[in-house]
Amino acid sequence: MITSVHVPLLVSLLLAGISPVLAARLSPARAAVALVAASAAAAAASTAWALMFLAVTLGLVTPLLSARVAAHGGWFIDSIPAVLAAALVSGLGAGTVRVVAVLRRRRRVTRELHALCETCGVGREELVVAPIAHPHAFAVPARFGRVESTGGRILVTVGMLRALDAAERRALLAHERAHLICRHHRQRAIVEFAAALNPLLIPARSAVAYLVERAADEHAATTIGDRRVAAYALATAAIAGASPAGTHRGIPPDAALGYSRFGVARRVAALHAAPLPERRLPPMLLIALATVTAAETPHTAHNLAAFSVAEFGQTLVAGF
Amino acid sequence: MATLWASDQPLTPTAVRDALGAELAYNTVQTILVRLYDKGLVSRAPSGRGHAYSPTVRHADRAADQMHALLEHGPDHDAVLQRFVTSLSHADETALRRLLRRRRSR
Repeated sequence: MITSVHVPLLVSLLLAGISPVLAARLSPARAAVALVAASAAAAAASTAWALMFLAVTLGLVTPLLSARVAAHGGWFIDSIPAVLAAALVSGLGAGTVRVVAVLRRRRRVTRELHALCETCGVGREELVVAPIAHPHAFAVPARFGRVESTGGRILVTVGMLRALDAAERRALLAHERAHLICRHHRQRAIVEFAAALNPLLIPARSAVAYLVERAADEHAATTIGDRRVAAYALATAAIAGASPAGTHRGIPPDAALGYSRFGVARRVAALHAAPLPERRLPPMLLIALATVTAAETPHTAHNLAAFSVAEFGQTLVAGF
Repeated sequence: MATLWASDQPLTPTAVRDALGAELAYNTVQTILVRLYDKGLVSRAPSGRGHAYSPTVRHADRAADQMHALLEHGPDHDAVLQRFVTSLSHADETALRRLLRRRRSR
């Protein structure tokens, strides 16, 4: 029993360890999906455990409740290492605070992106060009619930368009369109919340951020039929953004601290290299791990989340 | 549309077609430009026998303010904001510059 207490923690640590390796070795689209599923399961499981500890610590578990849960094949913890309990319960509080912060930040960014599209966009045109000299490009997913062809818009600045030639511009637009078509913002949102709940998953979050960019790069390279042009587009855009000639004052030079290991230079190098072979086994193992993690979580009244994640994992395995 | 934005001067349909580098008929480009003009996306001025087109710049000041608001929140935001490129480390910048120089010299 005590071993299964540690399962979510061990899985999180394992994910922290292997995420960078997976990011470097696997073809990006599948690896991202698998890592997202595993992170979601690990976060759900660790949260469910922490909630149960909280219930036990607060004395909410009466013998009657315990007996009723046991009748349904579940059980509550009776003894747990004090240090672990304290860590999990305080982690739960901190996690809640972080989740709220992430929610607010996401809402704000979405609002600001849509405001920019509103200002610069014309009608429902997919391409929105902002009259700004500094090179930027964003994929702006459609607001929740709105159904459209690709379900979003592409926001680029004049600075970005001027930095690239015609072929490179096509690569850029294909990249951003890939984000919209593959709904990468959802994958990133899931790992963002998972890492907010469980900080051990921060490396997995960074790896997914890198993997969805790589997936979009590969998509763009396939669409325009030239890996090299896709690589040059990326390199040119990055250099243009880095040049001090830019009139924009916003971004400090090392804003992307967390991503320095998963940076643009590595994406350019990956596009220059041959595409990675599509391996099925490692992503499937990850999803299996996610399913097991979720299933290991005890059947308390509070673990509906774990159930749904387990089912989600099984559906994914069936999909592969 | 992106081609017009990328140019710093108005373009004739022929120039647009050349810049696109794709095998498009003059008439196709011309039709698209007229359609964009009808929608108010581009403005045009007489040039030679036809027109030269440039994109309509709207609300530049407001756009600049909004972009600034979007980007000024710093590194935390990068986790939420999906963007084409993030900023470069010094070593990466040098490496990429070398790569692009090699390409030009080829």
